[in-house]
Amino acid sequence: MQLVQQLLFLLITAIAIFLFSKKVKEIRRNIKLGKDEAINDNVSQRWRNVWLNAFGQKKMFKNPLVAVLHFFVYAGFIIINIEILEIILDGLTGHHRLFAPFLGGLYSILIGVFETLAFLVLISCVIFLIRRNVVKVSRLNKGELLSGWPRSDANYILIFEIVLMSLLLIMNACDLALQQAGAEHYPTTSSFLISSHLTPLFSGLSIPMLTAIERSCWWLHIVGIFVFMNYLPYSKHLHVILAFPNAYYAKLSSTGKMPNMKEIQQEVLYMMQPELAPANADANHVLKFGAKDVQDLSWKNLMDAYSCTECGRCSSVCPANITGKKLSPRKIMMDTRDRLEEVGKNINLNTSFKEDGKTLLHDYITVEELRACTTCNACVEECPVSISPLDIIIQLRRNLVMEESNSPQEWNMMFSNIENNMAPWKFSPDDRDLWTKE
Amino acid sequence: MISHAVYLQQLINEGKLKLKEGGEFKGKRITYHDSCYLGRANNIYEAPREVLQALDGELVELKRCRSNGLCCGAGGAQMFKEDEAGTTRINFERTKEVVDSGATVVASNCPFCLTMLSDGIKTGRKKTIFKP
Repeated sequence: MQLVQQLLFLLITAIAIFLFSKKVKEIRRNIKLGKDEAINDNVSQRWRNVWLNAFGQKKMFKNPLVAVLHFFVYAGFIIINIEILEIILDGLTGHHRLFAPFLGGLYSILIGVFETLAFLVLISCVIFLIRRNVVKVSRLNKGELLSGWPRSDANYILIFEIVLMSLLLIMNACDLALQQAGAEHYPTTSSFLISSHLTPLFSGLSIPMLTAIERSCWWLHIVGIFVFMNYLPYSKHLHVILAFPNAYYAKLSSTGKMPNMKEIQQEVLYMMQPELAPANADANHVLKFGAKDVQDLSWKNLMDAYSCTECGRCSSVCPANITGKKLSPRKIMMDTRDRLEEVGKNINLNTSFKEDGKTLLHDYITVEELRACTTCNACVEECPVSISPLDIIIQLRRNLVMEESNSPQEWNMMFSNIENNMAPWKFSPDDRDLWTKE
Repeated sequence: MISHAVYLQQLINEGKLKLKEGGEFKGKRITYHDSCYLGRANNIYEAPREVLQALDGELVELKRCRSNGLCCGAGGAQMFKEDEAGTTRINFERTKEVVDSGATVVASNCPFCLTMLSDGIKTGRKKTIFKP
């Protein structure tokens, strides 16, 4: 019987790891569909950003209460993993609490720490559920988060964590009850900090009953973790992993710096110095300006999309969104991820991308949204996981204007002023210094 | 390249530029609007404030200031066209905040912001979006 359990555990673990790594590989491939962009300068500053913005969650602390609660969940997530190591080893070897004999008194203290974290995670997740569904915090109940998958996704994650933490605590409480009853196979440890308060609830039960509850909780907890692990890549919860590389690869130069378009620079250069133009230029080679679909964006933009946790801090500070326009930086990120997933599925099905008549621009993100952006960088400044929605907006807008000539009449007048006067105004460049004589 | 706000601050600090005692702004409540490109894009928040403090007025902050500053609505070529459909215009939203701050003077470091704010105050008064 014991051996069957061990084999079953091994099988479940193997399946969970296999499915997870398969999906991770797929996401990695999808991100690499983006354009190459070498990001390898200033390594020390990049690690600093990882430390401050990912490990330290610096941006979250603009709202200290939420930041502390989120920090509990995050610390719980990372530190409780140490206990999961024991659980996995127990499952594979058929032991129970493998580490207990080695650690002696320290073991119960460690479990106490894990339990305290589990309890804090539980409380925080309950508060988060209340904020989301009862208090109805505006950014969590707006636009693209009003209904459907994004809304359910957020709630599923919180409920899942509450269930997992409850299972852990009930499991430990039953364990203590079994120890008190002198059950075989349950080595005596000192009392556990949190679950010992739950033990009286179970101590009246028979040993087989307690064992059944304890074992069920053990299995549900670890299988739950495997299920959750495989849920991650389909969910906004993927930020728990991608926030770290995303902080590393975040733009270091001034956020206001608009990247030059190499395509244009080349064209202008060849116009000025035709001798530099390659003699055997491929006439069929079509230049593309800006981005029309996910493949035209940089891989960092695509990793941004997978890192988005849909918290909506970006949209809550976006001047366009605040004043009721359709633009929502969060939706830009969610659309990019949705489109990228669609392209990914297309590739899975057809081995290489088969034209599906859709593009990120127009089919997901509309002209009206793009035009409303003031490029103010508030969304970039606010994002706790180092995403730049602005970078995507600018590339889509460049495509709109340069390839589709899709711009309002007023802009066309401004463009021709820039061409003729080197300024957006209708004044001759010769008059530029007239103000000094005023 | 150096921003004029930083340049003015340097001149004042070095004593090369002296402001008249009891000038036009003495004792007035002045607020400062951070432009997105001097602020968030270039991290210059203090220099313009120090220049304003030299005016001998009372400097009050807007609710959304410094790195949290709200855009005036001009950037991204918005100044050259009408706002998209929405509940209000961005410059009205910002000038309402200026009026709510109780300041009688609003300072800006950017000609685009200046236009948006002047227009917001003028039109806002006319349309009684806020009390004059």
